[in-house]
Amino acid sequence: MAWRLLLMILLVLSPLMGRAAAGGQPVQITSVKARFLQEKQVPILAHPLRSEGRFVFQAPTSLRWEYTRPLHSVLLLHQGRIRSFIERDGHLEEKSHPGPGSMEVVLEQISDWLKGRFADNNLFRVDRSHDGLVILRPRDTTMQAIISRIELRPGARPGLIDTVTIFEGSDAWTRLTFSQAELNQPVAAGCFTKP
Amino acid sequence: MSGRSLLGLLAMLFLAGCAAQTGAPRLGDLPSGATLSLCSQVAPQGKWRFVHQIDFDRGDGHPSTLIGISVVDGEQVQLALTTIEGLTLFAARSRGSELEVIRAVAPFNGKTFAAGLLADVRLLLLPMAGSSLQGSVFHDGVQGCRLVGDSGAVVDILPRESGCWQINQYRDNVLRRLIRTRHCHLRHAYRLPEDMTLEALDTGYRLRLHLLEYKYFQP
Repeated sequence: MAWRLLLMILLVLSPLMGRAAAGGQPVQITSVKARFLQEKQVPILAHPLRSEGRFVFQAPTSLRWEYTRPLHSVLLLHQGRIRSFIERDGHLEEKSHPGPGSMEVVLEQISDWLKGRFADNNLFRVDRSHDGLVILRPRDTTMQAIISRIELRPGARPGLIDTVTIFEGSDAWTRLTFSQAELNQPVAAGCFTKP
Repeated sequence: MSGRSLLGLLAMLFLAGCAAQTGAPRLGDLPSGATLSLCSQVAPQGKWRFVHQIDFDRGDGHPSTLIGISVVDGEQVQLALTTIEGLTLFAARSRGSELEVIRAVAPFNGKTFAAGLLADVRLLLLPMAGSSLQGSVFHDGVQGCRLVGDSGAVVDILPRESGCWQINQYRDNVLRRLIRTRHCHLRHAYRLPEDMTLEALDTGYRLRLHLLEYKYFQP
């Protein structure tokens, strides 16, 4: 369950990086690239745990999500196939993965999100605060047991998102802060097929 | 001696040899001061925080990679397991035999999972907690220390010439847990390993831990 939820979140977030989350003019998205800083906070930590990485999304549903520090791992989604790799002893090893399962549901959501139809989905209930914060709350009770809500903070630059915070209850969260975002730039061949 | 008697004797010697391979080595006198010092260096003293990449192999051919965050302070261990992407799958704290599960997501929410995992984490990080020194043992020609816990588990702490160490845990005179370490560095009187492997010989699962970060909290 956890890995499916995670993949849903990544697939939802990636095109949202190119969305005008504050409700501006829709942007035609073909690709999104960015770097991210991930901070993980749990009660036993005095300071959040930090990881760094980068991602590439290409419409409609190709994704490369790569961690570079403190460990190296790559998640690839392309043409409905999911592959993941983790570095051990200096080289990337492919991990076995269960089949796509509920991915078809996620893929349907992606096309709606890209058209700006945030409210028309059966995964999340969407609310907006007065200052533009977009709040997603899972509809599925199984998903609610894992995450309570996701907050998207739009950036100063129209069409981009500064941070995404995934809350697991009141005292644990994961925050992604994006930087060096590029929209609709060419994507290297093999980006989604080779680790 | 008749042929049958000789055969019987040989069979007994063979079986005894087999038993010795899985049973705990013979207990010797109290270890030397130097050995005691080495044995004490396999447990972190004071308060430490560790972050490990954990490869969790349940023996089903589908290993999982998680991030393990642990805080050790005296006899208390706090543990959180997350996915690489940050989803918290398990969180608990333990002091002695007391255990509090804070969060557990399937498949980490099994009834016996928490207690078993924390017991193994305590063996990895606090092998001497709740145990008393019984004497010495020899393994591969090197003297080590034997401790016995309240539950009757026997723990042999075996310093290695490489500066690292190995731990063998026996229950009912059968080797149940085997811990090996690699690339160890002495930090604040603790032989901190970059890599640890725990093999659960009774259940068939294996943990491989690679150290990503650590912090020692000055008292």
